[in-house]
Amino acid sequence: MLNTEQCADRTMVMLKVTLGAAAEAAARLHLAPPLLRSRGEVESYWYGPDCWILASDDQAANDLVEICNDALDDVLHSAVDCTSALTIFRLSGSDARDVLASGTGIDLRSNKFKADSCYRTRLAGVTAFIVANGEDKFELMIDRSYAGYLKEWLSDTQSIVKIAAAS
Amino acid sequence: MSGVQEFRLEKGGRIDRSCVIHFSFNGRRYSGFHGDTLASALLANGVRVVNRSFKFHRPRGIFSAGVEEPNGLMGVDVGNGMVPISRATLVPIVEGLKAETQGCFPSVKFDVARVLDYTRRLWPAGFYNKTFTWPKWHTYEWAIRAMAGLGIAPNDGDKARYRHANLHCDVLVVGSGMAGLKAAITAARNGDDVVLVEQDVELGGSLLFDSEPVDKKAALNFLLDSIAELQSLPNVNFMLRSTVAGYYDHNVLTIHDRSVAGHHDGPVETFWKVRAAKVVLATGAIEQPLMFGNNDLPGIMQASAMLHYANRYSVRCGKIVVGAVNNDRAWRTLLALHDAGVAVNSIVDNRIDVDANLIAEARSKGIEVFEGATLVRGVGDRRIRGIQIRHSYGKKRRLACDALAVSGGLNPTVHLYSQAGGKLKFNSEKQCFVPVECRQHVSVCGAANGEFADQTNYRIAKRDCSPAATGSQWVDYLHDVTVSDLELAVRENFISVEHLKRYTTTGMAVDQGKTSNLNALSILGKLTDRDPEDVGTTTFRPQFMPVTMGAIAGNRRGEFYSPPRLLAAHDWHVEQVAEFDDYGSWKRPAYYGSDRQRSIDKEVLRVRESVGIFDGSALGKFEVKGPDAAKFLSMMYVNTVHTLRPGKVRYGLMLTESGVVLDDGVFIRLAEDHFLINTTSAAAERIGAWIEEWRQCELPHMEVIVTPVTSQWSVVTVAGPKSRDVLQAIPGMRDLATAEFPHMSFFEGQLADGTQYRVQRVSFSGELSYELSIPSDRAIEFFRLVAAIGEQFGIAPVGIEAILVLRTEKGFLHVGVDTDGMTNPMDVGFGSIAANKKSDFIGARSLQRLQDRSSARRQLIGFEVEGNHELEAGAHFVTNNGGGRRSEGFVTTAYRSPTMGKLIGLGLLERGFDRMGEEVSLFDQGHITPARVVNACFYDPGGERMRA
Amino acid sequence: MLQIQCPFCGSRDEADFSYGGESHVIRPSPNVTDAEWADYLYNRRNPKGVHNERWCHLSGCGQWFNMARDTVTHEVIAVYKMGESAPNISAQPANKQRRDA
Repeated sequence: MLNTEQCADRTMVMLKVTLGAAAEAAARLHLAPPLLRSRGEVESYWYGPDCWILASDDQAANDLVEICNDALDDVLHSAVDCTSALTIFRLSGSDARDVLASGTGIDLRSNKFKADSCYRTRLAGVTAFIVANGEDKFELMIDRSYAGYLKEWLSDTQSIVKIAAAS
Repeated sequence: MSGVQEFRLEKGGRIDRSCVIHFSFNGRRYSGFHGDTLASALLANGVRVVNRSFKFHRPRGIFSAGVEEPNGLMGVDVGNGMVPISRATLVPIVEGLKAETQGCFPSVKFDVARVLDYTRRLWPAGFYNKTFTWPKWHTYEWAIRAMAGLGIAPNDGDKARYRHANLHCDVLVVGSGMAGLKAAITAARNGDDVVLVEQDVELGGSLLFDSEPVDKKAALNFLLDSIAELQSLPNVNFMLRSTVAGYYDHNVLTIHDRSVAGHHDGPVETFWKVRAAKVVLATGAIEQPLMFGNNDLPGIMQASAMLHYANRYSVRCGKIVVGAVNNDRAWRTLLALHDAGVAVNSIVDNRIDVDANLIAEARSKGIEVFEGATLVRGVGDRRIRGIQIRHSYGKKRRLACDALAVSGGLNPTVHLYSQAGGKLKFNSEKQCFVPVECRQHVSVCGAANGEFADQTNYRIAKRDCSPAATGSQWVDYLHDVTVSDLELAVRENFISVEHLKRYTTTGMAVDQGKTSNLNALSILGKLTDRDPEDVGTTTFRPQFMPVTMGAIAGNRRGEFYSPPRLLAAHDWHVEQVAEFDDYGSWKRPAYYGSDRQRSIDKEVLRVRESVGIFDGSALGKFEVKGPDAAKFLSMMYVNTVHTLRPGKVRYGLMLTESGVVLDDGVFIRLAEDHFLINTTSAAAERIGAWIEEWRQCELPHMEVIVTPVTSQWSVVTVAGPKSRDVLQAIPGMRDLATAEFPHMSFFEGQLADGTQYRVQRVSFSGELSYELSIPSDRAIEFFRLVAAIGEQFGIAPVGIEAILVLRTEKGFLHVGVDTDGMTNPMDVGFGSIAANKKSDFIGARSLQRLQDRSSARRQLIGFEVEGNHELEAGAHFVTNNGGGRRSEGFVTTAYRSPTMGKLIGLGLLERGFDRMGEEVSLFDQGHITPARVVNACFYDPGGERMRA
Repeated sequence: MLQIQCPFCGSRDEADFSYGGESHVIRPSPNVTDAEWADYLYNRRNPKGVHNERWCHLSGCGQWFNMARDTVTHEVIAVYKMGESAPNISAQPANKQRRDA
């Protein structure tokens, strides 16, 4: 079983700093440690050692940018709205892991890819950001131009996984 | 015939006699039982000739019971279409299965092409290569092509589904015989994540037929106990009907999984990519054939395969069985076969030191023993009827039989180990290659490691051919290679094992020489007086077993083959009846409407005369920020950066370090330390990576951050004399009057509804033009809005093809179309900009080289053609050079311009800048077209229209 | 298929990475001779054995880093960050692998 849900009402901001300033920025803004997503009023996803995605369900992108600008007024940084750039899918169900494993080489075993883990990697031939939301629950972030393709790929792959699982 | 299985033993076997299964072979109906393979069912029905050989069309029968099968290859249809070259030994029969021999005519029993066999002296190894040189390859090409190839590719659609999947585990155990089971249990008890892979339909390997006890337990009891323990452990996964196909670097293996076979929605094949911390190879060993005259006759079979058929499938492979072996282990196999109810009449062994206990045991069972006797040849035509042997004292004798069990000893199945980079060593006691060491985390155990018998010594004679004519002794069954072919190759000095392989094609067939390589090496060693160790083996390569093309493709086919990127406003373009095409990774509107040429011309004229709306969203966009931003970009671009004022736009050209034009686009100064840069659409990702590489690797001291914003912003490009009127009507739009907002300006603000927008006044068409950027979530809304506002001004959508015509009329550069891998900025008219730049930039030093400054280079010029000529990009500028033509360059772009009313184009022409007005000849597809060289800008050379 | 240890993300599939050629190639000043410039542009070590090269975790964290890899065995001997100098790898003989074995 797989549920795929496209999640539209989430604002996102990409925050980039220089590598040298990353630790300082992370401390000031309580940003997620490497390969993890941090929960809170403003969630942050570790996107790279000098980059995070800040996300919120109720704040406007400009507010998130302001938060960054205020906290990092003396640190070189770039905070830009990327709400339109990324599409979020939420996957859940017993087939979710198998469907993802059809497209990505990362180790999805639940003792390795634990809840709140987030990896950017290749998925089904495109670059995607995969987040573990919990047992059999995942979040995918993907460039909006590939969203249509990925949605079809997920559905096609699931139809094959279903046959394999039933046999 | 259906119902009578003449060669089925009365009882025993792992078949379900209550479940009768009907199938057909070459149109004839047969029956077998659940648990049978196609091979065992055919043997049970007394079918001996199952195929014709590849080259000489000799009759062939089942030789083995496993992956090594060189003869029993056929087309098999289990309801999903005919799959060619299926191994009968591996296909479980299902109701309605259809099998057919492919590549014979009119039938497998009588094949006219066997005339090649009777004349086979004419077709030795390499005959094919020799036809290339004498007298003329084309004389035979048609005939050779018609005969070549195995199997027949199906034409109809494939009902199977295919999937790729990834798997991680601590220990991957390949093979589930005794050694594999033990390894899996050890690892599982240790708490490791274990995956146990077996290519057969059930676990057990040789335990399923070999009755030798294991750890003092009966083989089957050991198997059942092991399975029970493994099943009780949560950390063990089983994969059946799954073949490990390849072993790659860093313990990555691929598995072809055919376990999902019987689903009503069609079968699913999965191609797994496994990453294992450790791999255990327990792949067993393969019994090798003996070399003697006519050793390919149907009815000649591995001794172990006969035991396999008897014990597992309850099939006797003959009524008068003779054994011919060269090792002690095979004696035990034959004795077990005898005990299983398949009476063995006699055993022939060329050694004189066979274990006396074995001889005594055989004699006690009434088996006649021929010690020290050489098997000379098999007798028979379409199947074996007897053998001729020669005693050590010279006397010849003929023994009648209808089945001959042969054993030339075991050879470890080291293919995967070798693929992993493992080294092999020849063990002369066992006369086979065994694993030595490997750089990867892999261990080999059981027969695959040369551990053939744990109770007694394994003794074997050296491999050699018999005294029969070498032209009748087969080395490679599947590719029809004989000992005499090897002799010929050696005579022609193909003595390296790799040369021998390619010249004779030994071991190059789809079985990869599983039953031929070792014999070939032994013969080569003997002919060149070398030990097999010195001869070496050829390289083993993936795939271990053939893998279906579908499994390799997975579901990445059709639309999934190359993932298409769609514009945020894709649905709006669909509404506008856009015809889409692929541009880089994007699917973008080429033009709107149904008639390509008419639509493009109309769109061009609309931009020239009133206004068009174009989706420029795919344009690459990056924000560059930091105190060193200007300095950084100055390195990236040929053009000067620091003189640009905030709010202004400048055209920029990027080069590779070799000075070759890489990309172009505009850059905009948003603030003193903040820029927005545009790249060409197709190159956006590549240029993004290029910039990051320079930032991180070459210029790490610069304080600068680059953020990609390509997908965040969609770009509504409005072009044409009326474009200002349209955009100005958007509520909240800033004053666009030229005085306030001239050409090459930029502005960022908020519209009346609060929408954040960016607008830059730039032009790729040569007309007044604006690029309006809005967040992509609002793209459709804005295309609708602008189209609605523009209606009164005659606005209509414009596709990429029209834009490309417009830019050609204007002579604007299209990097990658008008430039190639040698074009530098001087060649495209940017020489003075490059020369005037004071500071260093990528590629600058290369432009100082003599060759880069040469005036003889190909330079980008325009040309025009009078009349109704047709011409395409790729046509060459030619001059007469003695008797022939010489190319002076080529056409990069050519269009029939609706604006200019004639054929125009751009091209790279030697010394082009000095040749304005010259009449030149264009060579295109056999025709010469006259053309005139002109300045590369055809339309509004002063640029008044875009600055208006 | 290599498994590459990104210094920031850990072990990932080769498919996530892009290759950037030999590392520690110094870009000369523009004042050098044509021959010196050509050497910088075109000549690379291409050793049989340990090779210091740069890779980018392109479809991952986006960072460039250095890697010492044995070109014969594909063994990844070390990964180290951009700007760090090459680790002193005792000249271990390139694992002599017989191509015909």
